[in-house]
Amino acid sequence: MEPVLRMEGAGAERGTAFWLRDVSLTLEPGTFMGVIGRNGAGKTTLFHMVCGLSRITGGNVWLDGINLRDEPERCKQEIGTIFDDGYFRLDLSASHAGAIYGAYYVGYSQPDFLKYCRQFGVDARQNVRKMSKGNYMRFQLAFAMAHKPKLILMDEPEAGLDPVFRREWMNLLYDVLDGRCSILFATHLTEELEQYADAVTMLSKGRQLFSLTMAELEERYKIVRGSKAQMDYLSKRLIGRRKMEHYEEGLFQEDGKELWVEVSVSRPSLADLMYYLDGENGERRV
Amino acid sequence: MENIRACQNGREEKNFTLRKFLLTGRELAVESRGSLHTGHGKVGAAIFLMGLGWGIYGAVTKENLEKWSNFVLLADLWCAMGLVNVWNLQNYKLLYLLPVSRKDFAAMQIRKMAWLCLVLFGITAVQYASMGLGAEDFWKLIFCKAIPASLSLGVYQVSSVQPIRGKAVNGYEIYGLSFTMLLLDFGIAFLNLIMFPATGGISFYLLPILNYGIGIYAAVYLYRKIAFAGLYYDEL
Repeated sequence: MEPVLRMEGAGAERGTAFWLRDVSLTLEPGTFMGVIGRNGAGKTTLFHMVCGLSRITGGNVWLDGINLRDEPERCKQEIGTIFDDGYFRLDLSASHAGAIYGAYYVGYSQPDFLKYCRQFGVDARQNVRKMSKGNYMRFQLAFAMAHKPKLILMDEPEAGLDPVFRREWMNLLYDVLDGRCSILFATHLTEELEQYADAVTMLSKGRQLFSLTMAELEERYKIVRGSKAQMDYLSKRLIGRRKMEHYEEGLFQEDGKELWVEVSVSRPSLADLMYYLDGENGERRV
Repeated sequence: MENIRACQNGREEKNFTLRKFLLTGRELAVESRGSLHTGHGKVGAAIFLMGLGWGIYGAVTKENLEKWSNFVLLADLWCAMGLVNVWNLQNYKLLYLLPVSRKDFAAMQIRKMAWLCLVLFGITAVQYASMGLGAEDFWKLIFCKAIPASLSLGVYQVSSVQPIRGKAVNGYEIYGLSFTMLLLDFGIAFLNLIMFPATGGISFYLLPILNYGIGIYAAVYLYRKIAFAGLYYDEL
């Protein structure tokens, strides 16, 4: 089956400056991929490249097998966006916004849009500007679902939302999408990603550090904990380490060799990976 | 929008056909209905109605052409501004985000402009008709004033989309020129509506000819500006 999104060496450059370089990832149908990275890592640029707001200057991007650089309009038909900014005319009611902007999409259905609005608890008669942030996100999701996209892009939509809503939002996404489309989700909420994501791509300073499934990630990276002497012994094989109160901890990349020391080995969290691979304390050796 | 669907279903259709023009009319009806729910749209509709009232009042109460002309100009100007405010639910951000090519989007704006021109022409023609002029003078005013002036004022519809901000440069052309273009276009329409040189002489036809020329050039210029600009949203 054709991947929903495939990027090969894609980048966005302008003159001598670059915003994003050499990104390669594959998003299979029905999967949920998280994009993590510190502020300014290039997450938003990645999303803008995919939805046509940024120029793709290097490599290629295919959406459902269609080259985004050759046929951007066909590709945009397959994309639903849930962004923080108001791309709609915000002073319209939800139902009018749906009718007016939905007409650009081949697969859009106004009855479906209204059905999703009811399902998500969005008042279709309400002015979009007057919606709470949570409702505005639900409205965007209803609009996206109504034109039946193959890929939904979400660029940090949960920023500024309470933890209860965030959890409800993720549950809603899982219930509604039910494998019907893939999601590319940029977020700083690594705990939520660990629960829901099937794959993760990490960006740092405009470059891709990895793009792996959760299983591959678990297999590749390990957190090791032990005494200072044990960690000194392993230090050449560690990507980064830090001193805790009673022990030391480090990130280790699986290389197929024995560790030869009795240290505790565990699965790293995404926050650990960000800290060691992109933090100032980590010795970055990916 | 229906037209976009037709294209995307594999039926290649030219952008400037009667069918598409009529479909645009239907889209404008939907857009007007949606727009009237917005503050922007309500203000636009109020300005349009004010222009209409002003024009009719002027046409039925003033005694000579010079006095009428000011009312015609103001009525046209207000009606144009009002309708453009009602019909501007599409903007340059959407140009980049929605699944429509720049050429199709630009053509859509030109079709909307054509509708605006028709409405303005209708208003101007009704005003001239209610002035009680002779048939020869009436047709002269229609061809020399009403048609070119509505064309020029209609260009405002295309420029209001602002596909590229004034100062953006794409390496080849400075797009800030569009503001100058619009000033020139409006300026000639104002002059043409207000000034009445002696009929029959070359000076009577000079302004309308300039008005036709600049109006058509401005529309083509702005169409090309939207359709062939090589800039992306993040580069603005």
